Amino acid sequence: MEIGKPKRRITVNPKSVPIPTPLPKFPDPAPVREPTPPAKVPEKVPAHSTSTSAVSSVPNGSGQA
Amino acid sequence: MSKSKVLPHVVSEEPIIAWRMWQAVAVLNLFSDDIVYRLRAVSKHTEWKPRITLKADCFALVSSLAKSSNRQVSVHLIGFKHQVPDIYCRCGIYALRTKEKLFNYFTGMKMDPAKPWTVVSANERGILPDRIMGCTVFGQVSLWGEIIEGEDGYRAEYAYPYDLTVLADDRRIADSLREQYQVDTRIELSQAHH
Ligand SMILES: [Zn+2]
Repeated sequence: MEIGKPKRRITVNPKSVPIPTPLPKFPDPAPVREPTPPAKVPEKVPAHSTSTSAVSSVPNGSGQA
Repeated sequence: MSKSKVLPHVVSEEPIIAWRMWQAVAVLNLFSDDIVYRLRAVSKHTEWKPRITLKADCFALVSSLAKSSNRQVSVHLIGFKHQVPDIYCRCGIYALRTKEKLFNYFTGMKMDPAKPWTVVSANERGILPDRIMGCTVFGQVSLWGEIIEGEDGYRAEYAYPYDLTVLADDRRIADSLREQYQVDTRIELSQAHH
């Protein structure tokens, strides 16, 4: 088959692939929701205990944990 | 490389609709033990799978090189892995601009689409059995991805049938194709004589 003299290039990016009722590649990949263990809420450190400015100079491990 | 042809380029969200011909071939469904009909390309017998995008491959090194008398084309193809379809190559899924061009092409090939063909020496591709009945089907096809548009038709990266017309008085084939490919499918007998 011949398409004749090339005239132009077309890039078609369809919004959806033009295939009727496409089957999902993997059957029904329903999201599995694992029972989440009761979240251990980290104890809140009182806001005032942390300096919000440059604190990186605090030596490792020696600070109050 | 030297004279790379620069074609105008457009971007679109709308698939191109063009015309193609197929063979409908009988395939044994091993699960249901039924015969179903599938489409395959007339020339290279590429199978068009139901509800799956057909993506063009390039076998340039084995097929186009042998045919090409243009040395530049050969150099290009050997040297560089290319996007399919490539302007220098012959790759891509072919479809023609109009139904008239499609039928002209096949009558030019001395092929009568109306004539049901009976024996096909199949088949390394897993299509059963090795002597099968079938008929010619034509219709519109959606093309998308990268496409080279020519004066008479297209070479495309992706394709799927848009609608089908079965050139045989056989409801089983039409029903099976409709069910498999989920596109409008009808029977037309008069078309055969155009
Ligand atoms: Zn190619």
